[in-house]
Amino acid sequence: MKTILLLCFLFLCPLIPGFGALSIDKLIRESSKKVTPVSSIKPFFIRFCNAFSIGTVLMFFVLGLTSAAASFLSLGLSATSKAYAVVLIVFLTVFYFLIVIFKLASISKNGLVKNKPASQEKPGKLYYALFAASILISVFALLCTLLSKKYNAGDQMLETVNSFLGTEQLQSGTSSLYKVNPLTGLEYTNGYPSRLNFMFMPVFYAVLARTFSVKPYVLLWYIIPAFYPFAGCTLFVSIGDVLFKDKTKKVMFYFVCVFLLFCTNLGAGALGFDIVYAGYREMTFVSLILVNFTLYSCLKKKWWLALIPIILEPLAVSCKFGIGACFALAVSLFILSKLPFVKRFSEKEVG
Amino acid sequence: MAAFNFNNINDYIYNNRIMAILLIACIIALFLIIGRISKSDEIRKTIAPNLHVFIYVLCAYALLVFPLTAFLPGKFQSVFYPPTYLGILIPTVPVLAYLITAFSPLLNGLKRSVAIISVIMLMILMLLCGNMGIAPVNNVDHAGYRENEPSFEECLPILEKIVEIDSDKAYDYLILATPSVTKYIHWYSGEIRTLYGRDMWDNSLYSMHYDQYSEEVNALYQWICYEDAYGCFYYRDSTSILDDFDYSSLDYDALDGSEEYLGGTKFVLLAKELGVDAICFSVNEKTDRKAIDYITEKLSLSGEFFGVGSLLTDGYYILYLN
Repeated sequence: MKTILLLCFLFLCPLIPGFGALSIDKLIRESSKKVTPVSSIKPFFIRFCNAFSIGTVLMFFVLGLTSAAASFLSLGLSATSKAYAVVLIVFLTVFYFLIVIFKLASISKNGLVKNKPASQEKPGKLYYALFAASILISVFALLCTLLSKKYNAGDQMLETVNSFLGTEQLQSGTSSLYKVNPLTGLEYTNGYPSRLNFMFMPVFYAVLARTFSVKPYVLLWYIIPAFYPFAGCTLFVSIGDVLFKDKTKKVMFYFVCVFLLFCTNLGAGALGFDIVYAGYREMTFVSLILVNFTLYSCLKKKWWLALIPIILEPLAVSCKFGIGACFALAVSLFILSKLPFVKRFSEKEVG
Repeated sequence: MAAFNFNNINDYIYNNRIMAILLIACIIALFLIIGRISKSDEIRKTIAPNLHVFIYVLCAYALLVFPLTAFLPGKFQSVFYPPTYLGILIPTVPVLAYLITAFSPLLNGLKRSVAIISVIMLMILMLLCGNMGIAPVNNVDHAGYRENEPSFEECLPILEKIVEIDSDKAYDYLILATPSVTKYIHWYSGEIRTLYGRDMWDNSLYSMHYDQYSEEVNALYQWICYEDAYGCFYYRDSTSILDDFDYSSLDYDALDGSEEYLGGTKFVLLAKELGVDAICFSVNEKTDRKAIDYITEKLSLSGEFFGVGSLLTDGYYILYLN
């Protein structure tokens, strides 16, 4: 039962901030009269994917900052769990009321007329074939995830989550994070990098395992590797929506993305099979969600939105210092898009 | 600070093989747009609004594809990501999918059969450019498992047993176990302490802690690995390892002059000296039952067999030291 609740939390919660953020965005655009209300309505599937991808990043952003604040205040796992709960309730309530206010404002402005999407091209058989194939590939990959061996070298995420949960019972009232070496369970003899204190992913997993009473290895091996690819695929739909106007091309783009993601492995930029046996790692999160979200923000020319993954990346990856992939991508694209010859060429071709 | 180097050039190539292909694809794209080679307005109009993305991808791949030019991004990124992960700078999946989709109108001018064959060829090319994930090295497969290593699921019964023993005692339960069991213990529960950790000499894990192991722990690790591999409890060839250490504090009277089981007995005493509460080792058809009985009796210890499959084929023996 608690596992079902966990799945509901992971797959439904991001929709609230996502739809809330889209409502705000729409309100701003309508008030600035950039678009007319009816033409801006997209099909529900696209709106769902946009909401899920934006909501996921926003939720991780808030939880990442909460984790950083909790570690700064040396809170234990139980206190951090409570902080997570309070922050999430406030966060979700605020966005929920934003959606309600937007709906009320929309009804009072346009009446109760059901807006229909603008006329679209009839998709044809290729649309359905590609879409069905991409869904089949995704389902097959997730089944492989259930049966595959689990990655056991280099990374120590699972041990860290277990050590947080294991030491919590003994050190109630005090911070139970990073008290012991996760690989041995013994107290640190020479210490550990202070950088680890600000890593939010092990804390996030530990809080989930603790709150929903799920064994950490079940959470990390079977539940999370289903969640990240799902969030990644919704991002691909959103990116495809920005890139193409033609519906068939949008679906083809999505199909190629799914094919590249689940049928091969193209290095760090496209993890592929790594998701199957190491889907819980920070690299999966950064590669699938943060980098793609940065690209999405840049393609939409919403540069401020790219700040979220830029801030979130150092909280997710156990780096020491340097510039992150999201920062490099966002800054480079921003500078390149402002170059005169690029602007001139784009304007000339698009007309 | 992690130095940026390309000592493991195979790893680099393995993880970035696709870059060359993408580089070529980007060059073609730029030629099609800027050089106006393509007469398809549709392609130009699809790609033109995102020219900056293609310039970025082109520059990034040009830097990353050659080890020498990869120095520049590596200088800033290698402390963030290992050199093999520098490909994360480019959102490969959407960029490649965008290229393929944008060029799909080119298929319109072809015969239906030729178009289908082209698509299939492209898919095969994409599969060939990829790999099976994290590179296998030193007889370790893609997921990091050694040959004939038991899986986590196979070890679950012994892990449950160890946690059960631990729950009867205080937290200070310290166990010396075979490498596989040691690794899986910490996957299964965070309440058990082990004398050494998974991949204890793996440098990549040193970014997570600065702990180092003593020579005694090192010797016990080698002994338990020997037990795991050969199933012999007495470890006849152990004397060369033990010669380097001072065992004056150990209770040699208990050994009773039996040279045959001396090696194994010494290691058990050493483990006891280091505060180990129990030793868990695998037993199989090669395991010397006499040696186990002898040591248990001579050192007044207790122990129990724990069969995962049939006893003495792939079971475990837990020797309680305290």
